[in-house]
Amino acid sequence: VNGRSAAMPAELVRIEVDVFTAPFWEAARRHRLTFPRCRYCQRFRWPPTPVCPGCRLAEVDWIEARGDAQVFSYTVLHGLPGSPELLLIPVVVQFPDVPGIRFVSTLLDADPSDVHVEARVAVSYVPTASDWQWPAFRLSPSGDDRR
Amino acid sequence: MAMAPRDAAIVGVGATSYYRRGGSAPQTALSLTADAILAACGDAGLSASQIDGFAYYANAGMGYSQYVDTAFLMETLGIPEVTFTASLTGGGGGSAGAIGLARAAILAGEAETVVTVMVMKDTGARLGRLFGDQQIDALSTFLQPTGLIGPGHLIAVLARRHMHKYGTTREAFAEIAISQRLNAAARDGAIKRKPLSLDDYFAARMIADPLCLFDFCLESDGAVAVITTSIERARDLRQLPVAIVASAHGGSQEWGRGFTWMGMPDAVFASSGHATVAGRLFARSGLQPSDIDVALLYDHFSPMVLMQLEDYGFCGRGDGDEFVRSGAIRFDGGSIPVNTHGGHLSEAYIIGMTHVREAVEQLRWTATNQVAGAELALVTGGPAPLPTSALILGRDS
Repeated sequence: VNGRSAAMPAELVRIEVDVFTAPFWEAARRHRLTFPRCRYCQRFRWPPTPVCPGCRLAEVDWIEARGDAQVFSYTVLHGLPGSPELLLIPVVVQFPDVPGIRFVSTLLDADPSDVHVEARVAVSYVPTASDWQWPAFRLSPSGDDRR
Repeated sequence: MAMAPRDAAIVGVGATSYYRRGGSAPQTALSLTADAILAACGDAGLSASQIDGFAYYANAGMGYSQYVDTAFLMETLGIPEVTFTASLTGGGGGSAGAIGLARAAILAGEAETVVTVMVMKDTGARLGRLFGDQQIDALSTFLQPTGLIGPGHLIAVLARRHMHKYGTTREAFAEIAISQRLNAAARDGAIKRKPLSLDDYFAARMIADPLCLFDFCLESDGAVAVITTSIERARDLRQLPVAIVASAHGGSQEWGRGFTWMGMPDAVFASSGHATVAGRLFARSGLQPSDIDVALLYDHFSPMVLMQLEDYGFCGRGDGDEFVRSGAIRFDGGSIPVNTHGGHLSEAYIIGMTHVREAVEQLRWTATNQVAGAELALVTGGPAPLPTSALILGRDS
């Protein structure tokens, strides 16, 4: 498989929402990237779970991230079962302004040879067939700080 | 530290033939399971009617997609009364730990003759897309749209981080695949016996970069059963007992759901998630890594063999690449022979149970690739969402 990476086809993306994760998805629909932070001990947790693992209290504030991030790790998938031509680059990213959050996403429109750990990326939303917006990422124009 | 007392032992092992995925037809999951249990009974010199306990793992999910229930096994095999039937939670991480669960039942007086069994039987569901086929919920929905639908996809992300952090190379993953293929070549019944060259490895189809076809385990059909009993009773049975020297399962919150979470601290992220289980296992046994004669390390994906070598202290953290490429894991001349049966990569994939079988054969001194004078074997369960698990087994002499 050659070429540039795509998003998972919209009709294959399955978004399920519950009371704890709804604020994330509602914000994403407005192209806002927000993460839950414990109202008491200020610890971020991801994905959103019912109580803080630090202080066991429930209330959170949803903190908006700028949307710039750094690749922590990634893989390159050369086809999926049923979609042999699909080139996907799943990434795990970290945010400089949201400490402790590790977000799993996918890198859009990238040449695999341009991707590396520590590359700078920025959020880019992809509509799903079920009318949600999936926060994906693109390599930042400046590329990265390493080269 | 003194060696822990030996209180329980494996006294019987039975296996069906191993088949490529789908190759066991027209046998059924129940018939394969029954055959393996009866073979283990025959090996031990016990009647199936003497079985009174079952200790499973993976929530008794056989091959993840189907169940072989205790009641069906009692009905099929003529087991009159069961006094213990339980399972570890999680998935393949509990394979070694299920033997520890059997031991716990025996020490508590809950049961005397306990079977641990796993069967793999093609149902059409592909393990490689295990997470893609599962019901999506509000947590797993954060993973599904990324395309990380199979365990190999997820573990590729950990392997990539290990390469970045420590300079680990694909040559090390290749050496794991090549050395295990060499081991399988000698072994009757192994599914992949044709030698694998470095050129073959690097020419293989890339599936989830940096993992290629040969970094992935096989998909197989077959069943393996093990019978555990008290050490006193074991010494009266047919076979030389293989004692449970130490057992541990569980793991740390820092690993937790592991590669289905991705939130681990960096050093734990680039690991097999076994570090705390390994520490507990060696502490309980009073042994050190250098005491182990042969290591049967759960190898669903080759990088996890390397990371377990680090987590179990056979080499330093981050030193796995150099250690593996030095030849240290080879049967022929290695300092710690690994997966002498060929493992999941080349012999067959029965979710960890073939590793228990190989440890028993090594300690009875009947293995195909026999490590001379082997007294102690390490067996691990899968690097997976918790629990992970491990056993040290010893020749009872």
